[in-house]
Amino acid sequence: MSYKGNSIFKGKFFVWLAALCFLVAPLLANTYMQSILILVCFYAFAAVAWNLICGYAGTMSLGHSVYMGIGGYISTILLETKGVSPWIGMLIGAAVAMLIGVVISYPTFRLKGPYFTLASIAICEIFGTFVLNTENLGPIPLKGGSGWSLTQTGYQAVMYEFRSKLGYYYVAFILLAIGVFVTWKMSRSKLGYYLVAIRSDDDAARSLGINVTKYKLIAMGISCFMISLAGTFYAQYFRYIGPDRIFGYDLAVQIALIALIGGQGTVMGPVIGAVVLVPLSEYLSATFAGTMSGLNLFLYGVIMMLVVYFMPHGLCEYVVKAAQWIEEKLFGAHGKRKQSKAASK
Amino acid sequence: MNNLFLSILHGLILGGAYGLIAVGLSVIFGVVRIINFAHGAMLMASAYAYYELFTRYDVDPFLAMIVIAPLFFVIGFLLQKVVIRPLLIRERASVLEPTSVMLFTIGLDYAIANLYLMIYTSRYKTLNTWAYSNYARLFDGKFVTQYSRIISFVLAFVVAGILWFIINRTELGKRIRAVSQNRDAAALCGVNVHTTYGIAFGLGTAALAIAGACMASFYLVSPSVGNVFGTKSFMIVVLGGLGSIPGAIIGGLIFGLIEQVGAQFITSTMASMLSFILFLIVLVIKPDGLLGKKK
Repeated sequence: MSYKGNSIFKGKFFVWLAALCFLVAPLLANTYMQSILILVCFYAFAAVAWNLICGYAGTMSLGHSVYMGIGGYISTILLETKGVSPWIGMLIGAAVAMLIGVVISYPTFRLKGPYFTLASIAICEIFGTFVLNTENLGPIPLKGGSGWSLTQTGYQAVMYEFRSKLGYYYVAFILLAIGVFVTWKMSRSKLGYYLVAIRSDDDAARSLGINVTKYKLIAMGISCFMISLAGTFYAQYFRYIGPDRIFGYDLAVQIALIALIGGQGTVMGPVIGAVVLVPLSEYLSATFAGTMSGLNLFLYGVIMMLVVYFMPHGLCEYVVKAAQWIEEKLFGAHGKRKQSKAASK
Repeated sequence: MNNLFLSILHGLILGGAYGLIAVGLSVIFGVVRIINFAHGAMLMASAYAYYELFTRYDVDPFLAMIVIAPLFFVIGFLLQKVVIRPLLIRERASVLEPTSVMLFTIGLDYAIANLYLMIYTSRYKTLNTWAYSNYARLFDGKFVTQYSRIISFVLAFVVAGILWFIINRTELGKRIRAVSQNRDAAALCGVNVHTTYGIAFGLGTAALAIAGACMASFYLVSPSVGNVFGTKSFMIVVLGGLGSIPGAIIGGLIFGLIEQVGAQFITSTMASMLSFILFLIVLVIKPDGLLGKKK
């Protein structure tokens, strides 16, 4: 059905529609709903950053949250010891995370498939164990396992602290919008096509003269930069950062699962993954709090298995198809008329 | 007898248990060529089976092993035959998603781990079996360790020996080796590839269930043990060479030694960090592992 060419759920229109929904939604929601929406944006942004390298180039990283931790820790330490505004600390942290990401990835990108995945788990584990057991790294305090509880700055927006949840929401939303825009730009650039070629068959890509390591490293750098911004957001929003969660295996897998379930290697996949999974898991963990503590993550696992089985390209494809089907049922006749007019011309 | 010597002994004993946990993973990878990310979760599941049998019917894990290991063989066989097989077949048809089995096992790992968290909560449990609460005293009482650890150390070599014998000296092993070398050629010779895969997977999970009995009787039982030992066993298997049975045991011994000897000089958690760093170095320099064969 060629009608789908005009669908509002395709291409740019779909993204604009989603952006509009995201912009308006928190204004209509109560505080609890707003906090869920913040988490949706946060996880969506992290998954978008993950997707940029892991989804497009097919290098399954299960330790990507390590760069989130680095970014969050650097901005927090700068804030607490030197009084540097997190807005600046965020960029410093991101630059350092990018550097560390590129340096670490240079040797590990030689590894293929599961070997790379295992290496990424090991890297995350090494950083986590190190931070957990180190009180002071030279002159820099790390505070070991107790982590950092951020001091109040009196709700100053310049210090990344907002009085209402709306402030945090729009920060997360802008981050997400930038993330989606960068992914969209990249997917249409040479870099994006190279990465897809590398994912399909990196030997073939290399034989065609693509510098595989170079392009993977560029994507890795962008991805690390973005995900470390999410780390600063995490620290500022929760007003706490500690090694258990942010350097832990659970968060790393959760980010990967959101992107994978949504649809890896697609622009909107990770966002759709977060929109579906985060509210579901928040609702479940709030409803069954204390009695069944693993239920929400259990569902992540089950949904992942089902997605691998029945929708290998992720939820994204089906969500768009379903939306188009509804659209066609509602406005189908109108759309078709337009189509036939255009055809007769 | 100084502390260093004692810590080497402790390291070897612990390393044997690590090797035992890793050996099943190695068999599965060696034959089916997939890394079972649900390995740790299945280890944890078997430990809870022993916990239930011990607390309800007072059956010692080392005895219950006789029932649980065959049960896990069946579970592994069915998992491969029913669940993973369609994915493997589909993967051959298209080159687009060569990672679906890995993603599936990651999802399975997450699901099992959190299912047990839901049922048993995160509280630690210990099994006060005879082997857990009685200590062996060797070298004039200077070397003190639980009997369960010594049993695990011995079992590691027994299980590895049995697996090695099955794969290298029996008719079934010939089929397994044929499939792992070239599955199309094996299929042409009349070997049922997916049944053989299933048997290999079952052998791996049965070995894992034996490791579970050891772990339950010298360590804690909690939903997070799967994560702790699972991650380590991936590293051990890669360190020793994926698919190599002696490699898994040697990798386990190296990990045990680093952790125990390293703990003499730095904190024990830092020492386990050291073993991860060693893993990374080996992986980058020699991705096939210490005893791995070139592909």
